[in-house]
Order: sequence, then C-alpha cells, then structure tokens
Amino acid sequence: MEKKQYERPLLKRIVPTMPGKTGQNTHSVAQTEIDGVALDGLRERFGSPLFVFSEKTLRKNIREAKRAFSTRYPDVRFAWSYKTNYLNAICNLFHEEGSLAEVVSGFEYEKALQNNVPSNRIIFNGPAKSEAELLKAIQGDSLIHVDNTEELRLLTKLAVAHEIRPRVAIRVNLDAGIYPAWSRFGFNLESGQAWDALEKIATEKRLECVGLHCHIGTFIQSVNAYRTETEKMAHLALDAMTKLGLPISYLDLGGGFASKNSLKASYLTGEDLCPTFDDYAEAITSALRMVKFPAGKKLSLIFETGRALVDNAGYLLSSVITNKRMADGRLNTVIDAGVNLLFTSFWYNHKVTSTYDDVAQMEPTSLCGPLCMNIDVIRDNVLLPPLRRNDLLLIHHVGAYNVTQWMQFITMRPKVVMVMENGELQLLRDAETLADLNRMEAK
Amino acid sequence: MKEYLNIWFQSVKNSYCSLVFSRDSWVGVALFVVTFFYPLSGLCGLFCGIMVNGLAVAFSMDRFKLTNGIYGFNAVILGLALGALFPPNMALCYMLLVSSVLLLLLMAGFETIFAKTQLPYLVFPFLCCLWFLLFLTQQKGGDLFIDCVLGDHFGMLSFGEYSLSDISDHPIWLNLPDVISEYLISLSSVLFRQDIFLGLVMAIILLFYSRIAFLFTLTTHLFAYFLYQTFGCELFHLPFSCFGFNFILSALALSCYLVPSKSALFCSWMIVPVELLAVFASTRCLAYFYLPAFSLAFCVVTVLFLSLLKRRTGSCAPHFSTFLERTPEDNLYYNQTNATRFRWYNYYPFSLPFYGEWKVSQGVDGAYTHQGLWRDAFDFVVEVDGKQYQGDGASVKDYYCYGKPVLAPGDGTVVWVEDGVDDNLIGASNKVQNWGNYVVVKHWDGFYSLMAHLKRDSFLCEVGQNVKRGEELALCGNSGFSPYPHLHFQFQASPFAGTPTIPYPFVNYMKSGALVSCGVPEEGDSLTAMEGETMRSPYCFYLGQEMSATSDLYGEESWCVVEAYGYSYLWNKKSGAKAWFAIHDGIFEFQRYEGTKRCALYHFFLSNYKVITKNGEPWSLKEEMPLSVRRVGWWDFLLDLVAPMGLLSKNIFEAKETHSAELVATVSTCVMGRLVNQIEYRTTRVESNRLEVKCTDGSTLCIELR
Repeated sequence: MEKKQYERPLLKRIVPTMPGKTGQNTHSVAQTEIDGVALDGLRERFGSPLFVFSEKTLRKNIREAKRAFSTRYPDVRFAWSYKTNYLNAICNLFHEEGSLAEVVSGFEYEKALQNNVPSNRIIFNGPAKSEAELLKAIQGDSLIHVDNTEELRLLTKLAVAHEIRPRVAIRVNLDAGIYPAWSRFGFNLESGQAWDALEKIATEKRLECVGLHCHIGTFIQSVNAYRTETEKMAHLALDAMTKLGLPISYLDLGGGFASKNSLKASYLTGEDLCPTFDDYAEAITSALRMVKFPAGKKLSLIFETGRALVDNAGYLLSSVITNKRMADGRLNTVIDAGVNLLFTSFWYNHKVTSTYDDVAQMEPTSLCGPLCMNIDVIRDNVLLPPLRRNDLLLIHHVGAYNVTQWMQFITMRPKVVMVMENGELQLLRDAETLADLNRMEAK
Repeated sequence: MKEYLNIWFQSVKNSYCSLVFSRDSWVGVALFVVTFFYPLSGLCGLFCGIMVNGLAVAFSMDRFKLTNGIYGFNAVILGLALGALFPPNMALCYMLLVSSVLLLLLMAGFETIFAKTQLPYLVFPFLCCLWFLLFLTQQKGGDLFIDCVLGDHFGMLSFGEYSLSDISDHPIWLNLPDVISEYLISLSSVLFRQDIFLGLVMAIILLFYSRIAFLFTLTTHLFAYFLYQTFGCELFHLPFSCFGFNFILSALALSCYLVPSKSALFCSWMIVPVELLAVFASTRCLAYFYLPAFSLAFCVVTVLFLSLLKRRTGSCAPHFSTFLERTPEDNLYYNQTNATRFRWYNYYPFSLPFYGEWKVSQGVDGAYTHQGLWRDAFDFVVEVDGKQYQGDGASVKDYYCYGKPVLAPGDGTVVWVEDGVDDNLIGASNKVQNWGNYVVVKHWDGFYSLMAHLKRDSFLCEVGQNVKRGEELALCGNSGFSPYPHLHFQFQASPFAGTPTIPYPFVNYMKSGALVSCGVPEEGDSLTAMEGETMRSPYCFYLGQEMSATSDLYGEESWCVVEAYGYSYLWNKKSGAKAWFAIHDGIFEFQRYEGTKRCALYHFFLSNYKVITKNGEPWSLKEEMPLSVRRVGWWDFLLDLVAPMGLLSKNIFEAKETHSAELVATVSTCVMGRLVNQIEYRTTRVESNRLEVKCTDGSTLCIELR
C-alpha cells in the first residue's frame, strides 16, 4: 500500500452564527495552465519566478476596446501608453493592432522609433521634455502634448529657429467631479490657463494646434467623470475652432480606465465593480453626440489607456519557499516573488490562485516575498489552501506597470515569456545576471 | 516662343502618328522616314504638315488637338497626294501653299459640323481639298496649272517619280501569294503608292505599333479579298485602284474608336461588304466629274457606322473607348480593367449605415423574412467571437449592437420617422407593429432607404431634416418584428414602410479587412465602414504641389501635381510622364499612366497603385492593373494578337498594410492562371512628407513632398 501523504493539521475558528447571504464560497479554485500551457511546464523551462503574458488576452482586450468605441463613433484611435508596459513584444503587438505610440520621455521616444513606429504616429506627452528631445520630435512631425508654459515658449523658439511648424496639442486638466482632481499636469481649464495657452498659440501662429489632451486620473471607476470630461473638452475644442480658428482635429481623452484588479480599500472585487469598455464608450460618445460641431468638422478621438488593456494579460508565476507561523498565530507563506517585482501590490489585492482545486479547508494566509525586508508583503491576508514547498502560485492581473516599475533589489529580475495564440512560448526578456549588473559599474 | 515651337514640333510629329491612328512617337518618326522612300512626296507631306500646323499654332487652335496631330494628319496626306500626283515645279509649290490654307479652312468647317455629333471627320477635309484642286487642274488648257499631268484613269496615279525602293521590283516579291502582296500594296497605298516593299515596312511598323490593329487590318483585308473573289470582281481593282486601303483604314479606325473585342472585330468585317459597294458607287459617281474616289467610301461608311453606334440606347458591346489611347492595346486593357475598377463611379455613393464592424445576419433573399418583393434587404448585427451578446443574452442591453448609432447611408431628406414602439423582450416579437420604430430617408424621387427596429426615443433627426451621408439618425434597438436586437436596412421605392425593395450596391467598405469598392453585402459577411482620414497623410496632394524623388536607378526627379479636364496627375517634369490619380473617401488611387517607364514616377505608380490613407487599422486590397502598364515578356507580343478574343494574362495588384505604416504591395503577372512574374514594393512613411519605397530588387526610391 502506498504511503499516504502528510497533511498538516489546520485550525479553523468556527463562528456560531447564521451565515450571511453574501457568504462567500471558500473552496479553492485552481488554475493550472495559461491558454493551455501547463504552469509546471513553464517553471521547468523558464524557472521561477516568471512573468507570463497571454497574447490571446492582449488581442482580445484591444479588440474589445476598439469594438466598443468604433461601433459608437467613426474615428477612434488607441495610442499604446509605453510606460504601462514597454516590453518590445507587447508594444509591437499593440502597434500591430493599429495603436499609435504614447511616450513620456526621450528614451521612450527612441524606443518607439526602434519599434518602427513612424515618428508622425508618436504622441509625446510628459511634464519634462528636454530641448533636444523636443527638437527631435518636431523634426519628426510627432504630436507634442504641451504640459506647461515653459515648454510652449521653448517650442515656439525652436519653431522659429528651425522654420518648422510643429503639430501640438494642449494638455488640459479639469474638474471632472472626482477626487483627487489631477491638476498637476497641463493647463487648468476652469482657471482659464488652458484658454490663455490656446490664445497664445493662435496669436503667435508659430505652432499648429491640432488637438486637445486631457487625462483625468488613473483607475477611474466612475463613467460619469468621463462624461463630464468629454463635455468640457468638446466645448473647449469647439470654442478653439470657432473663436480662435485653431485647426483642432482630435481630442485625446487620456486613459485611466480601470482594469479588473481590486483596489485595497475596496470591499467588492474589481471584476464586479469596474466598468467595461462599453460603459466608458457609451458615456464618452453619448456626451460627444450632444455637442454640435460645424459640418465636416468631426473630431477624432484618441485614447491612451494602458492598464485596462494589459493588466489581466499578465501573470506572475512563483513557487512557495516555506510556511511559517507568526507570533500572532497567522500563517505566513513565503514565495520567491517579492514586491520588487510586484510594485502594484502596494495598492491592489492581487488575485492569487494555487494549483489545488476544490479544497474546502482554506486558511487565511499572509503572503510574503523573499526579500529581507519587512515591507515585502504581496497580500496581507488571502485565503489559500495548505501549501508545501515548491507548490506553484499564480498572481493575476499584473500586466500593467510591473514590468516597467520593477527593480533589481536583493534578487534579480526574472524572465518574461508570452504564450502565443498558437500555443508556442516566446521569451520576451531574459533574466538578469550578476554580469549585467557588473557591466555598468566603474572598473 | 520656345513653347510655341515645341507645340509646333509635337504637332508635326504626331500628325504622322495619326496616319495610322496612333499616339506613339516612334510610329510617327518611322512613318516620316517611310514617306521619304519617295523623297518628293515625302517633302511635300512634310511641307504641308509644317504649314498647316504652323497656321493652326498661329491661330492658337486647341492645344490638345494640335499636339495630338488632329489638325496635321489631313495636311500630311494632302502633301503626300500632291507630291505623288504632280510633277515638281513652281505650280506644285504654289498649290501646296494655297491648299494648306484651304485645308485649314475646310477642317474648321468640318469640325464645326462634326463636333456637335461627336463624330470624327476623318479625311473629309483632305478629300474636299484634293477634289477642289483636281477639278480645277484637270480642265486641260485651263487658266492655272496647264502643266499638270494626270493619269488617264481616275485613281491611276503617276509612277514617274524616282523611288528609293527599287527593291520592290525584285523577283522575291513576285513569288508572294496574291493575298499577301495585295495586303502589302493596299497598305502602301495609304501613302499613295503601290509599292510592295513600302507596304512591308508599313506592316512591320503596324505590327510593332499594335498587334490588335494589325489583326484588324489583316482579317478585314482577307474578308475583302474573299468578297472580291466571290463576287468575281477584278482582283486588279483591289490593290491597284487604291480601293483596298479603304478596308484597311476602316479597320484601323474601328480598332481605335472602339474598345477592341470580338464584337468590334465582327463589326469591322460587317462593314466590308457595304464599303465594297460604297467604293464602286463612289467611284462611279465621281467619275462623272472625272474625280478619283480615294478614301471617300472609308470616310462615309465609317462615320455612318459610328453614328449608328452612337444612336444606340442600350450599353452593349462594342463600346466606344472613352479616352484617346496610345494604342488599341492600351485601349482594350484600360477599358477592361476600368470596367471593374471604377464600376462604383456609376453609382450614387452609399456607405454602410453604421460605425465599426458589423455582420450581415440575414442578407438578400434571406431564409427568414427577406423574400419575394422584400428580398433586397439586410439585417445587421455586431458579433464578437461568433456571439451577438455578452453575458447570458437575456436582456437587450447584452447585445453588442443594441444602442449603437444608425447612420444615413447617403445624402437625403428624412421623410418619415416612426417612434413610440417599445423594445421587445429577447425572443418576443411585435407582430402588430412589424417595423417597430423606423426612419425613412429620401435620396431622390422613387429612391428611399429605410432603417427599422430602432430604439424607442432615440431619434436624433426629424421629418424634413436634410441629412448628410454618415449623419447619425437614431440608435439600434429591438422594436417591431425583431426577436433580438438588429438593424434592418433596405432601399425602397416609396416613403412607406413595407414597400418592395430595390437592389443597389454600397461603395467603399471593408469586408473582413479587405476593401470592396462596390458591392452588395452577403449573408455572413463581416463589414466595416470606411473611416475618414484623421491625421496628415502624405497622399493629400494638392494642385501645384512640388515634390522631389530620388532613386537609385534614375537619380533626381522633380514632380508636380497638375490638373487637366477636372482630373489630376503627377507630372514628371523631366520625362513628361504622367500618373493620373484620384483621392476620395480616404482612398488614394492611380487611374492611368502615360509616358516612359524608365523613371521613378513609374515605380511610385506601381507601388502605390491604390492605397487606403486612413490611419491605424490594418487593411488589404486587391485590384486589377491594366496589362499595358506592366509588360514582362516577349509572349505579351503574341498574347496581344488574341486579346480581342479574350484576355489570357492578367496583372494583379495586391496591397496590405498590417504593422505600423509599412505598405507591402505586389504586382503579379499571371498568364492563363500561372504566375510568371512578381515584383514587390515596401512603402514606408518615414515622415509625414516623406515616403520611402523599397523594391524586391534592392533599389530604393525616396519621395519628398514640399
């Protein structure tokens, strides 16, 4: 007879009251594969921890977003927000699906060029553009979204010096009825800053103001904020066209669409709470429909949403190192992926799944990373089935911001792979090594 | 001044081309040389050509007609005839001078008469002019040209002149079969000679100029020969009475004015018997005045036949060629391609009545409701991964198409709005108010479009409102006989719902990512409406725009955008090549190419034959390219001969834009379905005003717009 596997005892407090109607099913739901590729196979081949992206989900997301907008409005473009995830393969996938590039620094601008994005399909955002970067952008006929007066002055100077007419848009911030109202970036609408800037452009006639840009914030769960934003921006565009005679041809309404992640302060999960692309699209296009533009002057819409397109396509695969009982009695499971790889764990309760299906005995666990730092906590409290060393855990919705904001700290940054639509695996980025680190140090 | 001299030169050169209805410079030069086989008449022809064209330039006649040799070819013929008929003396010089003026007057007169009927006046001016002169001169002992020598018979010309082509008497020619030698002699009599060698040279020129024209002339001649034999006419008459060239000229004219086809060929044979009678009749008739008939039969019968074709009401073959082409081959190939390529120009441009990608869930003659008198209708839905809804599909709001804007398909007036019918629950249908909420737009008398099953209270238009194509009318709903949300669309003959439908195509839409320029959607098709362009595109050419092109092969070139007759073309300043183009609905397309193929403009034409200029979305398209634009092998020469019977080869242009802004275009040549040649171009928009074209052979072409 085969020897039975050891199962550690589990203490669970039983609360003798009636179960509430919102009582949650605490059975574990396993995920053992991504798009048909087994997780243990992935670990065997690429090691652990490992970032895994799903091409299928990425394409599904962008197509769904496009479908939601394009069936409601004739002229909608998406611009891939580089800072959200600038792995070349990811960027190129979005470019392949027709996205422009939205960059916020000189280095991102170069990266977009290297990804064969024509320079006139790059949107150059950001509050800190150097003179050299601006010059390169205007020579390449990129769309420059002006953030401040200083930049406006610099652009005018460059335009005169090089006899070019740069294409620009004014970044506007406004009160869309949400808190916090981002007023750090761009020119404020309500105080008249934005109009002043537009007037300046219109009178100096050195720049060609072809658009208006606004980004109200990030992870916005209220579609009404977009409705307000769209109304205000459309009216501003109308005024700029009719009163100042500016050739406004597009509205860039930024991004900020919430992904299906769950915010830490939120009781319900993001999957239940966050609006869909259809909800956002309905609010924005119906608001735009109410503004009557002169005949033949329909604005195109540009969106720079990043998070909602890529978050649920990324997974972090990691392995259990050990279990510990802390002094307060809580279970502490240590895994090999820490907060240096998962920056977003500071504000999300990432969904975590194990490979054990239908285990009824779930235990509240504090999930920690391998760093020798007290802050290295992936989840404060998550219900997980009993785990052993080397068991696989899958952390969901990690596609946005992590592979750009991750850092080399104590451990090295791991490999990134993509599960392609045809089931093949493609290595997007190799793991860092000590040699990589040493290469940059002074000899 | 230099400009006028240039026009003059061009007009004289092209006067020679026009002798065989050609626009090819080298044909003009070759025929010019051929006329000098008999130096005197050649000189006279040249003199008349120069005189008449010079006068026409001085009187600033229409520049287009001038440079195309329209005014000159009568003059050249007249000169040749006079040179052949009269001995060289002062009287001839005087006659040439006077007759040039007379000819110009006659041409002005004939043009005034014929222009109204849009028929060519052919060589009527020449005939009148020559008869006029002959009528005067044959009165022996008359006041003027006493020295004139005329043959005893009308139509018999003088052969006294010294000829360069003595080889014609060589015995080798005597062994030729009659039918061939007579063809050659008839051909040479176009230049008023009966010279077998001259005929042979002309036949070779004709063959190289156009295989189709050669085919037309040869077969027509064969038929005429056959008729002569059957009727028992004296064969002697065919070539030597210079009657034979009537048939050849009419065949040439028809191969030029009509699109070469089986029916055009048949027509050119059909008029032979008539022409034969006309030849005898005109000869007999004019004999009364002691005048030769020359090509009167050709002129009369051809003009009569063309006017018969003009009076037709139906549009059946043979078709008139719409443009004066360089050769009958160009004529055929352009017409063949344009018939499918520009079919949509014939229709009122209706676009799809929605934004984004939709699917036809029930098409024309659909199984459910689109039958009988109501067969030409469409049901549109939005489908993602084979499903029309998200979630469980229990509510109308789950359906992707629900609440999406419905647009006016074309310009018109809203004539009927029906509102107030509630949306059905999923699966239920309102059989009392069949059409639910609907809107009817009138496009013109007796032509309306109806969009039904709309959402209650969603109307963005009212009765009497003028709407533009693409204007939002209402939102898609689930009212009326509609168990699940969809848009019912139909063209119909009256403003009332329930009127029988009318079949009509949509133009310029995408079907599964591929452009359809004109078509009727079919059930199951995934359709996307074309979007307008948003950002600055390098293809927004404007009149007078200058651009420069640098290529590995041809160095620096400068192009300019020019407009003529309401159409635009890119003009290569150096070589004079023209690439005609049009821009509409976010599509840039080249329509035709003229001029040398050894320049960068030609490669730009091939690589960007048709491009969708809207930004972003990947697209592909496939379109036929006229065979004459790109020829690849010697076999083309042979294929031309059978081309009027049916095309055996094809040029296909395929373009695809998938990633970023790189356009991959291939031009494939297939003969009888087999690929024989392919060239690939990759065009990238380096900057908004710079295009870079790379060819498979490694050469690059860089175009900068200014």
